[in-house]
Amino acid sequence: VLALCVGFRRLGDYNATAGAAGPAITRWPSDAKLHRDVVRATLVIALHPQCACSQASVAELARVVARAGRPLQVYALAVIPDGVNEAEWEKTALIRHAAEIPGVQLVIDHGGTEARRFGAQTSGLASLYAPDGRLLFRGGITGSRGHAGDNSGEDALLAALKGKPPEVGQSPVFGCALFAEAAPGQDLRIQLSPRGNGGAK
Amino acid sequence: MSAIEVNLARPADSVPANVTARGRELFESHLQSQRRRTDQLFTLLLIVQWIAGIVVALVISPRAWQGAISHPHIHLYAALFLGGAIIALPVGLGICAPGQTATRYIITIGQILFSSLLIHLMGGRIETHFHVFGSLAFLAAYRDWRVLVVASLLVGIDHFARGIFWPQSVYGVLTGAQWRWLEHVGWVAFEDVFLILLIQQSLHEMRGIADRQAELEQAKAQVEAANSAKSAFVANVSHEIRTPLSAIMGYTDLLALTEPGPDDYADFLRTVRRNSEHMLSILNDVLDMSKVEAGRMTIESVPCSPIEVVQEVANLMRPRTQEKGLELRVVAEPSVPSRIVTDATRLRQVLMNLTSNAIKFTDTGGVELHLRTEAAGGGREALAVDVIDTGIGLSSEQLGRLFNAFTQADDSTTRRFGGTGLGLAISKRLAELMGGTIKAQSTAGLGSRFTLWLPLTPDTLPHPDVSEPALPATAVAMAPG
Repeated sequence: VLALCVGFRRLGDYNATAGAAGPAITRWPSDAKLHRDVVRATLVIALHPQCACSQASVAELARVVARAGRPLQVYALAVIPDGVNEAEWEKTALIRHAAEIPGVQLVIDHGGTEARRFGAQTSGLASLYAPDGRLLFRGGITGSRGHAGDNSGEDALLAALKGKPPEVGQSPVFGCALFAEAAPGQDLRIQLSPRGNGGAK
Repeated sequence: MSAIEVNLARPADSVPANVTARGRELFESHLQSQRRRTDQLFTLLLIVQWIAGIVVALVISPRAWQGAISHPHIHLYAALFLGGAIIALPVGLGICAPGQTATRYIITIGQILFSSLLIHLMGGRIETHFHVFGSLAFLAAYRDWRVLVVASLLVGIDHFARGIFWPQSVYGVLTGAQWRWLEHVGWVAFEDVFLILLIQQSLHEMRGIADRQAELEQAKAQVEAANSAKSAFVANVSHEIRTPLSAIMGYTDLLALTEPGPDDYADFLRTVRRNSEHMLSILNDVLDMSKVEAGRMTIESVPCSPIEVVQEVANLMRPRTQEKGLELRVVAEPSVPSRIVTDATRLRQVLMNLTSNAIKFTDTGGVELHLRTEAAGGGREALAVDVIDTGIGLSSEQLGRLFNAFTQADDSTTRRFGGTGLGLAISKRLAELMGGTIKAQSTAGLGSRFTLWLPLTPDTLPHPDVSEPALPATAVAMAPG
C-alpha cells in the first residue's frame, strides 16, 4: 500500500510539475524571423520534436484552432537541438501531427534560435500576440504533463482570441525542456491568478 | 414471465427438503467455481495489462528529453514498477487463493488502480477512461454486487479528492469542481445499476439450474435404485418360484419312480398342490403389480360389509396364527358402518396381505384387526382398519421404503422371511385405487401398526334404501390363536 501511495504520488507530482516558464516577451521580438500578421492574431507554439508530453499540447492546439472563431496565424516551432539527426527529428510523429493541423505553419528551428527570441524554454509554450505586437497570452495549453483535455490555459487562450480578458494570463507549461541548459521547472500552479482576477501579463 | 423463469421456477414446497439442500449446495459450489475461474481470468488480465502498460510506455513516452539529452521517461518506471506493485498482491492471491473473498476484493482494487495507471500512461485520453467501465463489466462476472460497490467507491473517492484538492488534474479547471465528482460517479452508478440487475438475474438462473440438477441427481438415484431393486426382485422371484418348483419336481419324481403307500401318495399330492398354490400366489402378485403399474387394474364398487370381510380374513389366517401360537383378535367399534360401497375382493386382498405380513413377522404375542371410523377432515369420515402386531417392528429408515415396489425392509428380510416384496406395494396401490391409503407406524422390536383408510363418502356409503343397521356390539370376535 505504501509503495502504491508513493508511486502514485510521484507520478502525480511529475505530471503536475511545470517546465521552466522563461522570460515573458511582452512585445513581438523585433529580431524574430517569423512574420507577424498585422491583421490577425499570431500564435507561436514551441515544440520539442521528441517530447511525448507535447502530444497533448498538439492535440489541444488542434482544438484551439478549431474553436478560435476568428482568423489566426499559427506557427509551430520545431526546435531541433544541435548535434542530433536533423532529418529524423524533423519527421517525428509529433511534428507530423502539428503540421497536419489546418492553418498551422511548421517552422524548423535549428538550435532553437527563434524559440529563444520568444522566451520559450519548455516544449508546449504558446504565445499569442495581437496584430499590433502586444502579448495577449503566454503559457501551456494542457492541464498537466502529457494530459489532454479541458484546462485553464486553453480557456485563457481562447478568451484572449475572442478579445475577452483571459481568466489566466499565464498558465504553466507542461513539457520537455527545449534546451539542455534549461533550469529545472517548478510547479506554477501557485502562481496562477484565481478565476475572475486574472489578466494579460 | 420469461421462458427461462417458466422453466426454472418451481414452488419450493413441492421439492423435498433434501433436494432443496442439495440444490443450495450445488448453487454454492457453482458460484464458488465461477468466482475461482473469474479470479484466474483476472490474474491473467492483470498480467496482460501490466505488459500492455509497459508496451504503451515504451511506444508513447519512452524517454524524457532536455534538449538533445534524454533519459527513460518516468512513465516507463511507473508502468514497470508501479504497475508491478499494483498487480503483485492480486496476482499472488489469484494464483494461490482463487475463490476466496479477500482475493476478489483485492483484485477489484488492483483492477481499478490499474485503470488509473493506464489513464496516466495514455496521457489522460478520454478513451482510456472506458477501461473503468470495461473493468466494471468484467467484475460483474463475480456475481457479487459488493465488488462493484468497492470499485465504484474507489472511483468516487478518487474523483471527490481530486475535485477538492486538484480539480485541474481531472476536470481541467482550477475552481468550481467540488461537485463534479457526482456527475462522474453518476455515470459509473448508471452502469452499476444494470450490472447489479444482471447479477441478480444471473444468480436467480444459477439457483434454478442447481435446483434442476439436484432433482435430476435424485431422479437418477431413484432410477438406479429402482433398477437395482428390480434386479433383486427378479432374483427373489426366481428363488421363490424355484423352491416350490423343486418340491413339485421332486415329489412328482417320487410318484413316478417309486411306489409310495396310500398315505404317502396322498401326502405327496398335497405337497405338490400346496407348492403349486404358492407358485400361483407369487405369479398373481407379479401380475397384479404389472396391472397396477400399467394402469389396467380395475376396481369394482359394490356394497359389502367391512366387518364380514375382516372376519373372513381372520378366519383364513387363523390356522397360521394357531401354528405359531399367536393370538388373533378382531375388534370393531360401534361407529363402523355395516355396509360400504367398495371392491370387497381388493379389500380382502389388502387385508390378507397386511395380516399375513403381521403373522409372518411376529413370533410372540398376537395380531389384532381393529375396525373404527375416523374424522377425515372437511366434515367427512373414513373407515380405518388397523392391523396391529407385536412382531419385530421396523426402523424409521425401513418404514421410508416399505411401500416401494420390489423392496422389502432390507435384504436380510428377504433371506430370513422370503417373499417378493410386492405385497405392500400392491396393497398401497389398491388402497389408493379405492380412494384410500395405507400408512405404517412401527417401533423396532415392539411391533407395527398398519392402517388402511377408506373414505366414507356418499359414494361409498350405501344408499339409505339398501343400508342395514350397524352391528351394536363392540367386540365382534376375540378369538385366541
